[in-house]
Amino acid sequence: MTGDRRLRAALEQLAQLLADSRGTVVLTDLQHAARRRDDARHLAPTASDDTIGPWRIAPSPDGVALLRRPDQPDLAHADWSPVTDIPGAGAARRVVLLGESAARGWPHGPGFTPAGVLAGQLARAGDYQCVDLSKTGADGHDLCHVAERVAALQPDVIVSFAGNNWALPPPGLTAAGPATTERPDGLDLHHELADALAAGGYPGLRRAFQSAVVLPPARRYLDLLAAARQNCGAEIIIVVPEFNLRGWTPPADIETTALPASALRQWYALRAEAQHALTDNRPQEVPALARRMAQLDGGCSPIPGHLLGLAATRLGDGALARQGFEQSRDAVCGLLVRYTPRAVRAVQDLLVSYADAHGWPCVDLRKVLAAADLPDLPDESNFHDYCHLSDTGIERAMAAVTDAICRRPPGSTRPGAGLPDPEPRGFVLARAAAHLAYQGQPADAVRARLAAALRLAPSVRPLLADTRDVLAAPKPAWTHPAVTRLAGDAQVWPFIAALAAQPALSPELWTLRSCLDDLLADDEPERAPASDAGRHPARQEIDLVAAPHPDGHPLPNWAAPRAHHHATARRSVFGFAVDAPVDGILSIAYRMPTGSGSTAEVYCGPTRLGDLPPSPVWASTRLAVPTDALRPGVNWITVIWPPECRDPTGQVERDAEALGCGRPAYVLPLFGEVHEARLLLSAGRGQ
Amino acid sequence: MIVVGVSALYHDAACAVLVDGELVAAAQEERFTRRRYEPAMPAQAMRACLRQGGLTIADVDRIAYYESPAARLSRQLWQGLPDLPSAAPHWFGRLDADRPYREIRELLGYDGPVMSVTHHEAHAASAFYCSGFAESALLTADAVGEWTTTSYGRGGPEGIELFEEVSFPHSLGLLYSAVTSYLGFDVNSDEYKVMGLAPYGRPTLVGRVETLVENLAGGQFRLDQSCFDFSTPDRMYRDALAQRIGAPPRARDEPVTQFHRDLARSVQHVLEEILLDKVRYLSRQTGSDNLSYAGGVALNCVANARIRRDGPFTAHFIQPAAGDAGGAIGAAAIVHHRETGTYTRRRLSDARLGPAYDTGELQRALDLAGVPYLSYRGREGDLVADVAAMIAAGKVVGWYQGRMEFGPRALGARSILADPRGRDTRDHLNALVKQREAFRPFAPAVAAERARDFFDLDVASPFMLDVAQVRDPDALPAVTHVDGSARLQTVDAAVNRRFHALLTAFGALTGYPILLNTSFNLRGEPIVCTPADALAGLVRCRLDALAVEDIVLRRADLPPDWHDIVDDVAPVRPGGIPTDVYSFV
Ligand SMILES: [Fe+2]
Repeated sequence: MTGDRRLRAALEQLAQLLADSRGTVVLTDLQHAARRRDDARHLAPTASDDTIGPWRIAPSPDGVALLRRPDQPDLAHADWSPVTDIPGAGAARRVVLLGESAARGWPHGPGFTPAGVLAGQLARAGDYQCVDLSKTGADGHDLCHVAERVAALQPDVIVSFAGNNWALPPPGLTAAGPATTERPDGLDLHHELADALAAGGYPGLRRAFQSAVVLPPARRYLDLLAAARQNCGAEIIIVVPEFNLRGWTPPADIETTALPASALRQWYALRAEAQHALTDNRPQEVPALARRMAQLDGGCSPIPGHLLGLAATRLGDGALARQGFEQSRDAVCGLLVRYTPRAVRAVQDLLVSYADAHGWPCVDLRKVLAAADLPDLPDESNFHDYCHLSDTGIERAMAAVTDAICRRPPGSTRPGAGLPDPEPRGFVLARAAAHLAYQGQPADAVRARLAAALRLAPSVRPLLADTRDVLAAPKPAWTHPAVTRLAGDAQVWPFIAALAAQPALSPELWTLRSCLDDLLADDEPERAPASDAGRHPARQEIDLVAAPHPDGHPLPNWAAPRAHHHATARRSVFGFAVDAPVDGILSIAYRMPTGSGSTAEVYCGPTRLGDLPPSPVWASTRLAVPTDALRPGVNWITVIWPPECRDPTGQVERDAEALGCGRPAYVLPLFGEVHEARLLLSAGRGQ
Repeated sequence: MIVVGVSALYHDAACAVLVDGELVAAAQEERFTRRRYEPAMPAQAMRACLRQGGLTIADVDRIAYYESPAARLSRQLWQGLPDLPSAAPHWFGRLDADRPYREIRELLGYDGPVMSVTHHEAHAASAFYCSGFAESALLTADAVGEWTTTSYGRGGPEGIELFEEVSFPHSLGLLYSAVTSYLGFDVNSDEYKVMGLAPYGRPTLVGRVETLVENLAGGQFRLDQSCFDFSTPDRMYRDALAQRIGAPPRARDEPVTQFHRDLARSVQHVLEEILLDKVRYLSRQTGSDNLSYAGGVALNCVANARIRRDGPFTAHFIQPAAGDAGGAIGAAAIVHHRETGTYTRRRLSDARLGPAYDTGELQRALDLAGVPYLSYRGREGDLVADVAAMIAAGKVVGWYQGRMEFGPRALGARSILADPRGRDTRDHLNALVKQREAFRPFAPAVAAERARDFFDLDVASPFMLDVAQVRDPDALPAVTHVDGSARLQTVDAAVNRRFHALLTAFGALTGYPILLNTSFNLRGEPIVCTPADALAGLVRCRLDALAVEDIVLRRADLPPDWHDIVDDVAPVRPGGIPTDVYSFV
């Protein structure tokens, strides 16, 4: 034991030296180095070469066929076209479509897809076979997998409609899992990004992300397409994806990255000024304000570009509006925060330049989907949401692809009319409304789509009413009869099941509920509120910080969910509902990052309830909520935090250290935290 | 002074709140995240515990952490030798002694003073400070905490002191887990199965098992390292173990043979003999009549009964959350004692330390769904009479009452109850509710003052950590193990009035104030926490009825499609830790 004892004493001493955060960095780097040194293993072998997604490539007398693989009834295969077997093309020209969810036509069902629309157009032009190899959620790796094998299908034309997912962070950089030692390149990407962050702050992180994450797989994919052309002689058509620039509002929980105190105050002052200029109809003042904001945030905020886009649209300056909206769209990409799929400018440029250099025809949706009033911007009606196309958008895009395939001048093929019946269109609009609410879009946008859905298809009303009832149901919400009614509907069930599973509503779903309440209340005044069916205790307490997920509150960055509320934007909102207004008391346990003297303001709806005194340590406050501050239905408690966050230099260092160790970075400013917020209603009729 | 104890980042994360030395709340994080054995920082448990204590985070004076991160790191580094530091970890974050402090700051949101105590100090303190003893001998035994696997100590007015320890890799917990794994069961969770299997076997392999672990003089013992390997993520033993034992390891889906039963019996026997030898040593060293005992091995209630019957101590206290969750209590108690110089001497008699929830929202949901239920508000006598009658008629009932238990056992707050007299009750429960192996016994709860009439037990067993012979095994087949024993809970009217009243009502009907009491959860799922979880449990576990506080509902009255809906909406989440190997690397 003596030898053991000496060794143990030595290791205890070593551990003491390595016990702090710097020690963790050292140990992580040593593990990484050791992993690289003795790596003799290879990456997991890729699927055998005769498979593409859920199909096996098989020769047939009519040419190469695709047969559904019986061995993998795996759920991921729902991301692919449900077509079972694709026969050989025979004498027909074979057109293969590659891409992501936008190319699959999400969220339209198999009855209406870009490949289907394209096939319809081409049928009028000659003998074509359209093969849909697009995959919902496909990332660069998935696309390369298909591009590597597509030549084996002996296509005549390969249509690539891809690029929306390339700016999303890969799994190692998100909550999908920590960086593991399983891969020899383990932490290389983390280290590259961490170094860029340490050297260049958040703007440096964005740039490094673009060069290290976004573009390399995109280039590899295009190289593979070029190789496929070499192999089989297929013509390649590149579709450049477009984003719903005018129809997208940056979600409210990401405003800017952490900034130095004075810059942050200035930034928010400029923002307020720009917003006033817009509301007071002085859009000409906005561009200069937005430019100054972007100088302060280093291009890392989606807000100045959006303000610029709105102002320039009003001014009728399409080019400037595009510049603003594009900046807004691209600003968050690479910040390791959550954002929806989108093709960023660098990707669009790469697609165009690569196609040009190789002489490939290019269908640029920026032109194809242009609006009549401002041709620099796409028409919103072409979009289902942010990057997915509406039925009419799909028609326009595929008519342009038909022109390219048939070598006709652009505009020769007339787009089809889209979905033939108002019913499915209304249904898709309702679905878009719910989806956009989930994605943090403002109530107006959600309400507008819901209203349009009801106008087009009055038959969606029962579905919307059921959805509202599930949102309003006492917990567990899965007990509600509406859930039982909807359980049989394969199209809506995944969405409803997710709603019914939530232990509490997120602010986004409170927005959806509130919009549904407004719209449905119009002509069903006799309908009792969904919660008004049981007993009401004399007093009722509402936990405003109840988490919508068993793991806690998801944050807009990829940091672990928290059990309490983190304000990454200056405004925190907490939704709740009451059947009838009563007096209440709001008790809040909160803290702010600095104790510099500014108070936070607390509102219930438009009524100011009072202030939270500045406190860098946890403090508790009680505020009275008068009856007339409440209204029947959905209400909001809003906290507006002072424009102060932790020292950004320290945060950049901590984030770089975290990234270097394979942990998520925080990136965003933290304006305040709420550990408890309880509303005690005196004659409780809330929920 | 308000001290929050935290155990986390290992398995079974938990939080405990001490107000001026008084334990006011404790809960495991798994109950909230719904992932069994959740190791994550107990952020939700802390919110719930503070809430239960009428506190906010602003009131917290100290956080006490249940192990020394630097000491753990030194042991991890040792495990990496000679390839330091590349061996063992699957991901880069494993060697990170800053993690507890960082996550207490970031995930719990606590910036105040954080103090750590060692893992076995936390275990020992969790037993001593809850024992009510003025002074006591202390024993801890688990798989490993930092370097320590077993420790011996004393507790008294000055606090606790551990005077000897056994160091990793020599560990009774790891020996038992390795054999559990060898027998084809999940470690960290299925050690109970080995204990349950043991009475079916004969101690024919004791000689072979004894070659695996050498009992040394004093407090020490040694595992033969040629048979074990605790540094790989794949398995816990080497090929040599198979040669030594004389048979290959059992695969998960293979049938359990007599050989497997004999091995279970033999390892249980060897464990008990070593423990008995060590408590005798501890008694000699301390001269105390009292034993306070904790650590994962203290959940082996068969061994506990041997210590009680055949050991040298006259009074025993075993911590109900004897595993790592309980470390949260111990850490908080040590820090409180150190910081204030005082502690509260009181015996813990009630493990219901978690949050309670009201049923108003559940009732509104049932009303909307048109599900009938009976309300017994203000009529407790009728409630227990009706539930007792249902159980006597062969029904299986979910019993959800008041504050949630702390620790792995359901003790009448989140329980499934059934008739202990039914010949097929065990098979029925195993097949439908618990979906577990038929050999695992179920446990009885008995009205404390009648325990002696039915069981050979002369002490209280409030936490189901003791076993006793059943006087008339034929009368209680559902809770009597093959060897005629039962792992029982004695229920005191002064501690849990309503549960005691139910037992008494059942006794009035049947002559037996005894109920089969098993935890309210489906296989692989943590015990239910909220009334919503309980309703899902009623549906999922196919119970006949559910008593939630003052209301009773019957599964026959539920919409038939709820079963499919619950599976879709609230599927059982996968566990929080791997179960192939003991996850301590
Ligand atoms: Fe332990």
